[in-house]
Amino acid sequence: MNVPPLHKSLRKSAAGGFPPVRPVVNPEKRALVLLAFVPVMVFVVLAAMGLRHDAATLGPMMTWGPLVLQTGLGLLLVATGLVLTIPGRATGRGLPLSLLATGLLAFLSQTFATHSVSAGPAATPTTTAPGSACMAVETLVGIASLTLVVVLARSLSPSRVLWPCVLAAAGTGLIGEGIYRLHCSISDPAHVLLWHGGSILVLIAAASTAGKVWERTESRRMAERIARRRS
Amino acid sequence: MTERWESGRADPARITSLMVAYQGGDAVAFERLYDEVAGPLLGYLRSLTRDAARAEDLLQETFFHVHRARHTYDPTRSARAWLYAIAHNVFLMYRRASKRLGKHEDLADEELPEVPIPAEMEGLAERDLLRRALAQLPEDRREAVVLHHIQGLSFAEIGAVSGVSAGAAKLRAHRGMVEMREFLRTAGGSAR
Repeated sequence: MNVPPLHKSLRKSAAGGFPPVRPVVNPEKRALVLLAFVPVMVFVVLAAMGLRHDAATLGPMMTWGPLVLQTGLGLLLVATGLVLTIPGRATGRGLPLSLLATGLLAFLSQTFATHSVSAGPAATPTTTAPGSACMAVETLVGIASLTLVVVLARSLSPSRVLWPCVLAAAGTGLIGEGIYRLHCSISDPAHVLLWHGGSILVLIAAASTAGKVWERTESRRMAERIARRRS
Repeated sequence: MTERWESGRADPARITSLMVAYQGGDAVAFERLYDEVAGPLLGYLRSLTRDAARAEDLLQETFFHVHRARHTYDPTRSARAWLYAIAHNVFLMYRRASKRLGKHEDLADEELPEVPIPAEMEGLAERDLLRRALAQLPEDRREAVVLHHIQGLSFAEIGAVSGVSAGAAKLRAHRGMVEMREFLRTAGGSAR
Protein backbone atom coordinates (compact mmCIF):
# COMPACT_ATOMS: atom_id res chain seq x y z
CA MET A 1 0.00 0.00 0.00
CA ASN A 2 1.39 3.39 -0.95
CA VAL A 3 1.53 5.89 1.86
CA PRO A 4 1.59 9.55 0.84
CA PRO A 5 4.25 11.73 2.47
CA LEU A 6 3.26 14.19 5.16
CA HIS A 7 1.64 17.18 3.49
CA LYS A 8 3.98 20.09 2.89
CA SER A 9 1.99 22.48 5.07
CA LEU A 10 2.33 20.19 8.06
CA ARG A 11 5.93 19.38 7.19
CA LYS A 12 6.67 23.10 7.04
CA SER A 13 5.01 23.60 10.40
CA ALA A 14 7.08 20.79 11.88
CA ALA A 15 10.30 22.05 10.32
CA GLY A 16 9.70 25.49 11.79
CA GLY A 17 9.61 23.92 15.23
CA PHE A 18 6.83 24.07 17.76
CA PRO A 19 6.78 24.72 21.47
CA PRO A 20 6.57 21.85 23.91
CA VAL A 21 3.11 21.23 25.32
CA ARG A 22 2.07 20.04 28.72
CA PRO A 23 -0.15 16.97 28.42
CA VAL A 24 -3.69 17.29 29.71
CA VAL A 25 -3.73 14.36 32.10
CA ASN A 26 -6.93 15.03 34.02
CA PRO A 27 -9.38 17.10 31.97
CA GLU A 28 -12.07 16.32 34.54
CA LYS A 29 -10.25 18.44 37.12
CA ARG A 30 -11.13 21.53 35.11
CA ALA A 31 -14.73 21.11 36.24
CA LEU A 32 -13.59 22.02 39.75
CA VAL A 33 -13.39 25.64 38.60
CA LEU A 34 -17.17 25.60 38.96
CA LEU A 35 -16.71 25.07 42.69
CA ALA A 36 -15.43 28.62 42.91
CA PHE A 37 -18.28 29.84 40.72
CA VAL A 38 -21.12 28.30 42.76
CA PRO A 39 -20.55 30.27 46.02
CA VAL A 40 -20.33 33.49 44.02
CA MET A 41 -23.65 32.78 42.28
CA VAL A 42 -25.26 31.71 45.57
CA PHE A 43 -24.16 35.01 47.10
CA VAL A 44 -25.47 37.00 44.12
CA VAL A 45 -28.85 35.22 44.07
CA LEU A 46 -29.35 35.46 47.84
CA ALA A 47 -28.17 39.07 48.02
CA ALA A 48 -30.43 40.12 45.17
CA MET A 49 -33.49 37.96 45.86
CA GLY A 50 -33.20 36.56 49.37
CA LEU A 51 -33.48 33.09 50.88
CA ARG A 52 -36.73 31.16 50.35
CA HIS A 53 -39.50 32.12 52.83
CA ASP A 54 -39.98 28.60 54.11
CA ALA A 55 -36.30 28.00 54.97
CA ALA A 56 -37.13 27.75 58.67
CA THR A 57 -39.80 25.10 57.99
CA LEU A 58 -37.49 23.12 55.72
CA GLY A 59 -34.49 23.28 58.02
CA PRO A 60 -30.86 23.56 56.86
CA MET A 61 -30.70 20.03 55.40
CA MET A 62 -33.69 20.47 53.12
CA THR A 63 -32.77 24.06 52.25
CA TRP A 64 -29.10 23.56 51.41
CA GLY A 65 -29.06 19.80 50.73
CA PRO A 66 -30.44 20.06 47.17
CA LEU A 67 -27.75 22.62 46.31
CA VAL A 68 -24.98 20.37 47.60
CA LEU A 69 -26.32 17.25 45.90
CA GLN A 70 -27.09 18.95 42.59
CA THR A 71 -23.74 20.73 42.55
CA GLY A 72 -22.00 17.39 43.10
CA LEU A 73 -23.95 15.70 40.32
CA GLY A 74 -23.56 18.74 38.09
CA LEU A 75 -19.78 18.66 38.54
CA LEU A 76 -19.78 14.96 37.71
CA LEU A 77 -21.75 15.59 34.51
CA VAL A 78 -19.50 18.48 33.46
CA ALA A 79 -16.35 16.49 34.29
CA THR A 80 -17.59 13.55 32.20
CA GLY A 81 -18.40 15.93 29.35
CA LEU A 82 -14.87 17.35 29.48
CA VAL A 83 -13.34 13.86 29.45
CA LEU A 84 -15.43 12.88 26.43
CA THR A 85 -13.95 15.75 24.39
CA ILE A 86 -10.56 13.99 24.53
CA PRO A 87 -9.88 11.61 21.63
CA GLY A 88 -9.71 8.00 22.75
CA ARG A 89 -11.60 8.64 25.97
CA ALA A 90 -15.05 7.92 24.54
CA THR A 91 -17.21 5.43 26.37
CA GLY A 92 -20.42 3.73 25.44
CA ARG A 93 -23.65 5.63 25.85
CA GLY A 94 -24.22 3.82 29.14
CA LEU A 95 -22.18 6.19 31.31
CA PRO A 96 -23.59 9.49 29.99
CA LEU A 97 -27.14 8.14 30.00
CA SER A 98 -26.85 6.76 33.53
CA LEU A 99 -25.43 10.07 34.75
CA LEU A 100 -28.27 11.97 33.09
CA ALA A 101 -30.78 9.56 34.63
CA THR A 102 -29.19 10.03 38.07
CA GLY A 103 -29.41 13.81 37.67
CA LEU A 104 -33.07 13.55 36.71
CA LEU A 105 -33.78 11.23 39.63
CA ALA A 106 -32.07 13.61 42.07
CA PHE A 107 -34.05 16.55 40.69
CA LEU A 108 -37.37 14.69 40.93
CA SER A 109 -36.77 13.21 44.37
CA GLN A 110 -35.77 16.58 45.84
CA THR A 111 -38.77 18.24 44.25
CA PHE A 112 -41.19 15.81 45.89
CA ALA A 113 -39.25 15.66 49.17
CA THR A 114 -39.28 19.46 49.50
CA HIS A 115 -42.99 19.56 48.71
CA SER A 116 -43.74 16.94 51.33
CA VAL A 117 -42.06 19.04 54.05
CA SER A 118 -43.22 22.49 52.93
CA ALA A 119 -45.99 22.85 50.36
CA GLY A 120 -45.27 26.57 49.95
CA PRO A 121 -47.57 28.74 47.83
CA ALA A 122 -49.67 26.80 45.31
CA ALA A 123 -48.83 27.07 41.62
CA THR A 124 -52.07 28.65 40.42
CA PRO A 125 -52.45 30.43 37.09
CA THR A 126 -51.41 33.61 38.88
CA THR A 127 -47.99 32.08 39.47
CA THR A 128 -47.32 31.87 35.74
CA ALA A 129 -45.43 35.15 35.86
CA PRO A 130 -43.20 34.03 38.77
CA GLY A 131 -42.77 30.77 36.89
CA SER A 132 -41.40 32.43 33.80
CA ALA A 133 -39.24 34.66 36.01
CA CYS A 134 -37.87 31.54 37.73
CA MET A 135 -37.08 30.05 34.34
CA ALA A 136 -35.39 33.21 33.10
CA VAL A 137 -33.17 33.71 36.16
CA GLU A 138 -32.30 30.04 36.43
CA THR A 139 -31.43 29.86 32.73
CA LEU A 140 -29.19 32.91 33.12
CA VAL A 141 -27.33 31.24 36.02
CA GLY A 142 -27.00 28.10 33.89
CA ILE A 143 -25.75 30.05 30.87
CA ALA A 144 -23.13 31.80 32.99
CA SER A 145 -21.72 28.52 34.25
CA LEU A 146 -22.05 26.87 30.83
CA THR A 147 -20.02 29.68 29.29
CA LEU A 148 -17.33 28.98 31.84
CA VAL A 149 -17.33 25.30 30.84
CA VAL A 150 -17.08 26.21 27.13
CA VAL A 151 -14.02 28.35 27.90
CA LEU A 152 -12.50 25.39 29.78
CA ALA A 153 -13.30 22.96 26.95
CA ARG A 154 -12.03 25.13 24.09
CA SER A 155 -8.39 24.56 24.93
CA LEU A 156 -8.97 20.80 24.67
CA SER A 157 -9.35 21.15 20.85
CA PRO A 158 -12.41 18.90 20.73
CA SER A 159 -13.64 17.47 17.45
CA ARG A 160 -16.80 15.73 18.70
CA VAL A 161 -18.86 17.82 21.05
CA LEU A 162 -22.49 16.71 21.00
CA TRP A 163 -22.41 14.46 24.07
CA PRO A 164 -20.08 16.79 25.95
CA CYS A 165 -22.47 19.68 25.22
CA VAL A 166 -25.49 17.72 26.48
CA LEU A 167 -23.67 16.63 29.63
CA ALA A 168 -22.23 20.08 30.36
CA ALA A 169 -25.64 21.72 29.85
CA ALA A 170 -27.37 19.17 32.08
CA GLY A 171 -24.68 19.62 34.72
CA THR A 172 -24.71 23.41 34.71
CA GLY A 173 -28.51 23.38 34.51
CA LEU A 174 -28.67 21.18 37.58
CA ILE A 175 -26.26 23.48 39.43
CA GLY A 176 -28.27 26.54 38.37
CA GLU A 177 -31.47 24.90 39.59
CA GLY A 178 -29.84 24.06 42.92
CA ILE A 179 -28.77 27.67 43.34
CA TYR A 180 -32.13 29.15 42.36
CA ARG A 181 -34.00 26.68 44.57
CA LEU A 182 -32.47 28.54 47.53
CA HIS A 183 -34.68 31.50 46.64
CA CYS A 184 -37.85 30.07 45.11
CA SER A 185 -40.41 29.15 47.76
CA ILE A 186 -42.87 27.55 45.36
CA SER A 187 -42.57 23.84 46.08
CA ASP A 188 -45.51 22.74 43.95
CA PRO A 189 -44.11 19.92 41.76
CA ALA A 190 -46.01 21.28 38.75
CA HIS A 191 -44.17 24.60 39.07
CA VAL A 192 -40.77 23.07 39.75
CA LEU A 193 -41.02 20.50 36.97
CA LEU A 194 -42.38 22.93 34.40
CA TRP A 195 -40.34 26.06 35.04
CA HIS A 196 -37.23 24.85 36.85
CA GLY A 197 -36.97 21.59 34.90
CA GLY A 198 -37.87 23.51 31.72
CA SER A 199 -34.87 25.75 32.28
CA ILE A 200 -32.55 22.71 32.34
CA LEU A 201 -34.17 21.40 29.15
CA VAL A 202 -33.75 24.78 27.47
CA LEU A 203 -30.05 24.72 28.32
CA ILE A 204 -29.66 21.17 27.01
CA ALA A 205 -31.52 22.01 23.79
CA ALA A 206 -29.47 25.18 23.25
CA ALA A 207 -26.17 23.45 23.98
CA SER A 208 -26.90 20.45 21.75
CA THR A 209 -27.94 22.78 18.92
CA ALA A 210 -24.75 24.80 19.40
CA GLY A 211 -22.78 21.53 19.43
CA LYS A 212 -24.36 20.39 16.18
CA VAL A 213 -23.69 23.74 14.53
CA TRP A 214 -20.10 23.65 15.76
CA GLU A 215 -19.59 20.12 14.40
CA ARG A 216 -21.09 21.12 11.05
CA THR A 217 -18.83 24.16 10.85
CA GLU A 218 -15.78 22.04 11.65
CA SER A 219 -16.81 19.52 8.96
CA ARG A 220 -17.22 22.31 6.41
CA ARG A 221 -13.82 23.75 7.30
CA MET A 222 -12.29 20.32 6.95
CA ALA A 223 -13.82 19.92 3.49
CA GLU A 224 -12.40 23.32 2.53
CA ARG A 225 -8.92 22.39 3.80
CA ILE A 226 -9.01 19.18 1.78
CA ALA A 227 -10.09 21.07 -1.33
CA ARG A 228 -7.25 23.57 -0.82
CA ARG A 229 -4.69 20.78 -0.40
CA ARG A 230 -5.91 19.11 -3.57
CA SER A 231 -5.67 22.32 -5.55
CA MET B 1 4.41 8.37 -2.94
CA THR B 2 6.57 6.20 -0.78
CA GLU B 3 6.26 2.45 -0.37
CA ARG B 4 5.85 2.13 3.36
CA TRP B 5 3.33 -0.56 4.16
CA GLU B 6 4.62 -3.31 6.32
CA SER B 7 2.61 -5.51 8.62
CA GLY B 8 -0.13 -2.95 9.10
CA ARG B 9 0.48 -2.83 12.84
CA ALA B 10 2.17 -0.02 14.68
CA ASP B 11 4.37 -0.76 17.69
CA PRO B 12 2.51 0.69 20.74
CA ALA B 13 5.62 1.32 22.86
CA ARG B 14 7.41 3.10 20.03
CA ILE B 15 4.37 5.25 19.26
CA THR B 16 4.09 6.25 22.89
CA SER B 17 7.74 7.27 23.12
CA LEU B 18 7.45 9.23 19.85
CA MET B 19 4.29 10.95 21.11
CA VAL B 20 6.02 11.97 24.34
CA ALA B 21 9.00 13.37 22.38
CA TYR B 22 6.59 15.12 20.00
CA GLN B 23 4.77 16.72 22.93
CA GLY B 24 8.17 17.87 24.14
CA GLY B 25 8.60 19.89 20.94
CA ASP B 26 10.70 17.40 18.97
CA ALA B 27 9.88 18.01 15.31
CA VAL B 28 11.78 14.93 14.18
CA ALA B 29 9.62 12.79 16.46
CA PHE B 30 6.56 14.15 14.67
CA GLU B 31 7.90 13.01 11.29
CA ARG B 32 8.93 9.64 12.73
CA LEU B 33 5.50 9.27 14.26
CA TYR B 34 4.04 9.84 10.82
CA ASP B 35 6.36 7.23 9.33
CA GLU B 36 5.32 4.80 12.03
CA VAL B 37 1.55 5.17 11.97
CA ALA B 38 0.63 6.62 8.56
CA GLY B 39 0.46 3.18 6.94
CA PRO B 40 -1.81 1.55 9.52
CA LEU B 41 -3.96 4.67 9.75
CA LEU B 42 -4.29 4.81 5.98
CA GLY B 43 -5.41 1.17 5.95
CA TYR B 44 -7.96 1.95 8.62
CA LEU B 45 -9.25 5.01 6.76
CA ARG B 46 -9.43 3.06 3.50
CA SER B 47 -11.56 0.45 5.16
CA LEU B 48 -13.91 3.18 6.38
CA THR B 49 -14.08 5.39 3.30
CA ARG B 50 -13.68 2.63 0.68
CA ASP B 51 -12.04 5.34 -1.42
CA ALA B 52 -8.24 5.37 -1.70
CA ALA B 53 -7.89 9.04 -2.65
CA ARG B 54 -10.31 10.17 0.04
CA ALA B 55 -8.49 8.08 2.63
CA GLU B 56 -5.24 9.88 1.76
CA ASP B 57 -6.98 13.22 2.22
CA LEU B 58 -8.30 12.10 5.58
CA LEU B 59 -4.87 10.85 6.61
CA GLN B 60 -3.46 14.36 6.15
CA GLU B 61 -6.46 15.77 7.96
CA THR B 62 -5.92 13.30 10.79
CA PHE B 63 -2.38 14.59 11.25
CA PHE B 64 -3.63 18.16 11.13
CA HIS B 65 -5.84 17.31 14.12
CA VAL B 66 -3.07 15.29 15.79
CA HIS B 67 -0.86 18.37 15.66
CA ARG B 68 -3.61 20.67 16.91
CA ALA B 69 -4.66 18.43 19.78
CA ARG B 70 -1.27 16.94 20.69
CA HIS B 71 -1.49 18.31 24.24
CA THR B 72 -4.59 16.17 24.88
CA TYR B 73 -2.63 12.94 24.67
CA ASP B 74 -2.06 11.49 28.12
CA PRO B 75 1.23 9.51 28.07
CA THR B 76 -0.14 7.04 30.62
CA ARG B 77 -2.83 5.95 28.17
CA SER B 78 -2.86 4.18 24.82
CA ALA B 79 -1.36 6.33 22.07
CA ARG B 80 -2.95 4.09 19.45
CA ALA B 81 -6.44 4.63 20.85
CA TRP B 82 -5.81 8.39 20.84
CA LEU B 83 -4.54 8.40 17.23
CA TYR B 84 -7.22 6.09 15.85
CA ALA B 85 -9.91 8.05 17.70
CA ILE B 86 -8.77 11.20 15.91
CA ALA B 87 -8.87 9.34 12.58
CA HIS B 88 -12.33 8.02 13.49
CA ASN B 89 -13.55 11.55 14.32
CA VAL B 90 -12.06 12.90 11.09
CA PHE B 91 -13.91 10.21 9.14
CA LEU B 92 -17.18 11.13 10.86
CA MET B 93 -16.61 14.78 10.00
CA TYR B 94 -15.89 13.85 6.39
CA ARG B 95 -19.06 11.78 6.21
CA ARG B 96 -21.10 14.61 7.70
CA ALA B 97 -19.68 17.11 5.21
CA SER B 98 -20.22 14.68 2.31
CA LYS B 99 -23.83 14.08 3.24
CA ARG B 100 -24.49 17.78 3.47
CA LEU B 101 -22.91 18.35 0.06
CA GLY B 102 -24.73 15.34 -1.38
CA LYS B 103 -21.44 13.78 -2.42
CA HIS B 104 -21.67 10.63 -0.37
CA GLU B 105 -21.61 7.48 -2.42
CA ASP B 106 -20.64 3.93 -1.69
CA LEU B 107 -18.25 2.35 -4.13
CA ALA B 108 -19.15 -0.85 -5.89
CA ASP B 109 -17.29 -3.89 -4.62
CA GLU B 110 -15.09 -4.13 -7.69
CA GLU B 111 -13.99 -0.52 -7.17
CA LEU B 112 -12.84 -1.09 -3.63
CA PRO B 113 -9.30 0.06 -2.93
CA GLU B 114 -6.76 -2.27 -1.48
CA VAL B 115 -7.53 -2.75 2.17
CA PRO B 116 -5.68 -5.02 4.56
CA ILE B 117 -7.11 -8.48 5.23
CA PRO B 118 -7.24 -10.21 8.63
CA ALA B 119 -4.34 -12.63 8.94
CA GLU B 120 -6.72 -15.33 10.20
CA MET B 121 -8.51 -15.23 6.87
CA GLU B 122 -5.57 -15.07 4.50
CA GLY B 123 -5.74 -18.77 3.69
CA LEU B 124 -9.50 -19.00 3.36
CA ALA B 125 -10.02 -17.54 -0.08
CA GLU B 126 -8.54 -15.36 -2.76
CA ARG B 127 -7.52 -11.91 -1.66
CA ASP B 128 -10.10 -10.26 -3.86
CA LEU B 129 -12.91 -12.32 -2.40
CA LEU B 130 -11.67 -11.61 1.12
CA ARG B 131 -11.65 -7.92 0.33
CA ARG B 132 -15.25 -8.13 -0.84
CA ALA B 133 -16.18 -10.11 2.25
CA LEU B 134 -14.71 -7.36 4.42
CA ALA B 135 -16.32 -4.64 2.34
CA GLN B 136 -19.83 -6.06 2.64
CA LEU B 137 -19.76 -5.83 6.44
CA PRO B 138 -21.74 -3.07 8.13
CA GLU B 139 -19.45 -0.16 8.92
CA ASP B 140 -19.27 -0.71 12.69
CA ARG B 141 -18.37 -4.40 12.31
CA ARG B 142 -15.88 -3.72 9.54
CA GLU B 143 -14.22 -1.13 11.74
CA ALA B 144 -14.01 -3.53 14.69
CA VAL B 145 -12.61 -6.34 12.49
CA VAL B 146 -10.01 -4.03 10.95
CA LEU B 147 -8.96 -2.51 14.26
CA HIS B 148 -8.68 -5.80 16.13
CA HIS B 149 -7.68 -8.43 13.58
CA ILE B 150 -5.54 -6.22 11.35
CA GLN B 151 -4.32 -3.29 13.40
CA GLY B 152 -4.00 -5.30 16.60
CA LEU B 153 -5.90 -2.98 18.94
CA SER B 154 -7.41 -4.43 22.09
CA PHE B 155 -11.17 -4.36 22.52
CA ALA B 156 -10.81 -1.71 25.22
CA GLU B 157 -8.87 0.45 22.74
CA ILE B 158 -11.47 -0.14 20.02
CA GLY B 159 -14.20 0.86 22.45
CA ALA B 160 -12.34 4.07 23.22
CA VAL B 161 -11.96 4.78 19.49
CA SER B 162 -15.55 4.03 18.50
CA GLY B 163 -17.28 5.26 21.62
CA VAL B 164 -18.65 1.90 22.73
CA SER B 165 -17.85 -0.46 25.58
CA ALA B 166 -15.09 -3.08 25.21
CA GLY B 167 -17.77 -5.77 25.28
CA ALA B 168 -19.69 -4.15 22.42
CA ALA B 169 -16.45 -3.83 20.43
CA LYS B 170 -15.73 -7.52 20.96
CA LEU B 171 -19.22 -8.45 19.86
CA ARG B 172 -18.91 -6.34 16.72
CA ALA B 173 -15.59 -7.94 15.78
CA HIS B 174 -16.92 -11.42 16.45
CA ARG B 175 -20.08 -10.87 14.42
CA GLY B 176 -18.00 -9.33 11.66
CA MET B 177 -15.80 -12.40 11.42
CA VAL B 178 -18.85 -14.70 11.45
CA GLU B 179 -20.42 -12.67 8.65
CA MET B 180 -17.21 -12.74 6.64
CA ARG B 181 -17.01 -16.53 6.93
CA GLU B 182 -20.66 -16.80 5.93
CA PHE B 183 -20.04 -14.58 2.92
CA LEU B 184 -17.05 -16.67 1.86
CA ARG B 185 -19.07 -19.87 2.26
CA THR B 186 -21.97 -18.62 0.12
CA ALA B 187 -19.59 -17.03 -2.37
CA GLY B 188 -17.98 -20.42 -2.91
CA GLY B 189 -14.83 -19.69 -1.00
CA SER B 190 -12.95 -22.27 0.95
CA ALA B 191 -14.21 -21.11 4.34
CA ARG B 192 -14.22 -23.78 6.98
